Amino acid sequence: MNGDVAMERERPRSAMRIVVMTAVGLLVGLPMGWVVGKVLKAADLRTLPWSDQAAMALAMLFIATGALIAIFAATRRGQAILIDPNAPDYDRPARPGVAAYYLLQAAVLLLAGAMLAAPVVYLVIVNTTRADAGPTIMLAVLVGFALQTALNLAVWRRSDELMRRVIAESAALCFWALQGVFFLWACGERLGVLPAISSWDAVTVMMGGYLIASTIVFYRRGLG
Amino acid sequence: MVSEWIRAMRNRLKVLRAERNWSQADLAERLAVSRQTINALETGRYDPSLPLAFRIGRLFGLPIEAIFQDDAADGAEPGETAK
Repeated sequence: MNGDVAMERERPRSAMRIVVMTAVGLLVGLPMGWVVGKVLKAADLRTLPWSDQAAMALAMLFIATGALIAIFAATRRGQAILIDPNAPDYDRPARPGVAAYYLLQAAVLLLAGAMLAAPVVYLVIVNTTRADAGPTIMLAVLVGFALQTALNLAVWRRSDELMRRVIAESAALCFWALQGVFFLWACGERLGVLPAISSWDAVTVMMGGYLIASTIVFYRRGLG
Repeated sequence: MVSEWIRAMRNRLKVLRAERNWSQADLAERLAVSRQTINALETGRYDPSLPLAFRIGRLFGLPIEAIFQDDAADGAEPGETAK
């Protein structure tokens, strides 16, 4: 009996969840698809170096994730889902500051995506029409980087001890793995057995490495 | 399953919480941490800092060692696996 009641309650909730997720997916997916379509139309991405392709893929991932978090954080129900996707009801009010915390995380991701995409977008689109825009875009990246550093510090200050541990462990794992990779690659390069890589290649590898490291730590700490 | 890389202590947090009919979110709010932190503590994926352990002890009115059991303390030297 109780199980039946529970199932009856579960059905509309699952349906509602699908409707909400579809709506949010459309909200984020449509503009993202439009931007990606424009970039694909402007230049054949397959002709770009692998690091530019990877940077664009990572940037789109960061922007989509940031936009999703921002959309959820904007409503009380969305905040409840972010706090606990399996909560018995989604009406529990979030603690003061929780929405701001999620918005900070969203802003960090959006800025990271925008800064990672900026050089590639410049090469693919802007450079063909305005070759002198490089310094202006560099200035925008510098401002974005300063802002993101401040936001990252704000996220750290507002995080509880588990989240701080996850951030620190992700950074440690990323450093430990990539210092080895870069050291071995640099040795190979100096010895003439591996090709040279650019600083942009290295940054793209590091961003991808940090994404993998943080995902591993995130799941191992039960946050997945 | 939680690997040895992470698991260090067992605790009675889930039982103590259930006795008071609190949700993870309730307990998280009382301890000023995230719900995810409570979940990670209860599933043995995270050991609390000393200040948080004291807060937990004060909240339940119990000494820390009545809530957390250190497997490594059962005769094993540091670095050894407890029997």
